Amino acid sequence: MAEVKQNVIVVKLGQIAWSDRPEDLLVTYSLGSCVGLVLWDPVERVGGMAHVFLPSSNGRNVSRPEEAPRFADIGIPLLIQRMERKGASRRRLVARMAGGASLFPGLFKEMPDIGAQNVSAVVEILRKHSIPIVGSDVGGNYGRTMRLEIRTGRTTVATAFGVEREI
Amino acid sequence: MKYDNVIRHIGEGLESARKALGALTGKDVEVASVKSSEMSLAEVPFLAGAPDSVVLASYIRYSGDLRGQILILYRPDNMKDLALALAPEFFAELKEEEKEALLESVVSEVSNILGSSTLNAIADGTESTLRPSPPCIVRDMAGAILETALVAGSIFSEKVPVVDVKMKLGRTDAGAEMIFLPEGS
Repeated sequence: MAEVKQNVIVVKLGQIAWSDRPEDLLVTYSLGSCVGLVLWDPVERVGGMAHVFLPSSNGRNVSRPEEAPRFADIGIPLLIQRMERKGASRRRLVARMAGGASLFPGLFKEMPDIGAQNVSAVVEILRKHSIPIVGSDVGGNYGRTMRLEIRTGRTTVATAFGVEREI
Repeated sequence: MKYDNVIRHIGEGLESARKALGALTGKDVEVASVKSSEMSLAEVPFLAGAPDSVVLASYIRYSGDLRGQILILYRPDNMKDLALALAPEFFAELKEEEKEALLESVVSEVSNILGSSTLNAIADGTESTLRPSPPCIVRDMAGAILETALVAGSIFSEKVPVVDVKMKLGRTDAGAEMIFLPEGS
């Protein structure tokens, strides 16, 4: 079988990316308390990925375009919008999510659990947009790397301990 | 600016840490590089190389007159050289699972020296009172640890001040990478 060359697009902390090109592989590395979100339109085969840093912009003046996707409340609607421009329909979108871990549990008892807050915020925003979550690997106390193959829509999550699974 | 002052005193702390580690191991300890910069928030998880590479890390947060975080990262592949330098007499005879436990003790010991030397120098040099947290040892992806530190320090600005120090033990590949994330600078 011929080897399929993949074009890797790295989605860094607080960034979003989207694609309809079959050769593209979207990857977001080492999610800790951040949440990796994949949106997928199985008909048009348009996929998107967000690396959500914080649950809410909390009324911050987010003037720079590169800052907007950091926050779930701004970044997720923005990703949906960009995917629609590529032909995706929000009615067909399905979501998969990973991350939201607490890597140093118990160290900062006075601090809120940002990982859990990120997960709740993403779930709530997807609910508002009527996008079903069809796969999830969240919580725990370990990092994760998430990948989305645009050719197939296959989404995988890998941990530092050598485990990789499809969600 | 407070931040410039902190960087200067980090250098003094490293010198004292280098001497203390040298005395403990009987080997030359070299500060291979010190880089201070302001980097983009999105790039911070890539600071220690591939973000999904596994490291053993010691995490210390300090508060008081100044606030910030220190991450000391060790590559598991190079840890045995460090353990051999610190405890040569019995490391080779240990079972694998015992070696793992010893590596964590080594990380803890070396991190205490590195962390306390630099924090003492910063505190003395800036005439500040600093309260360090107990060190937390974690083994995971380097990028996930750095990302969590950003969140823990409420560091959300586009440009993040970072001091990145690489230390090396004698002629071995063993060493540590110390990353300072000053807050509120």
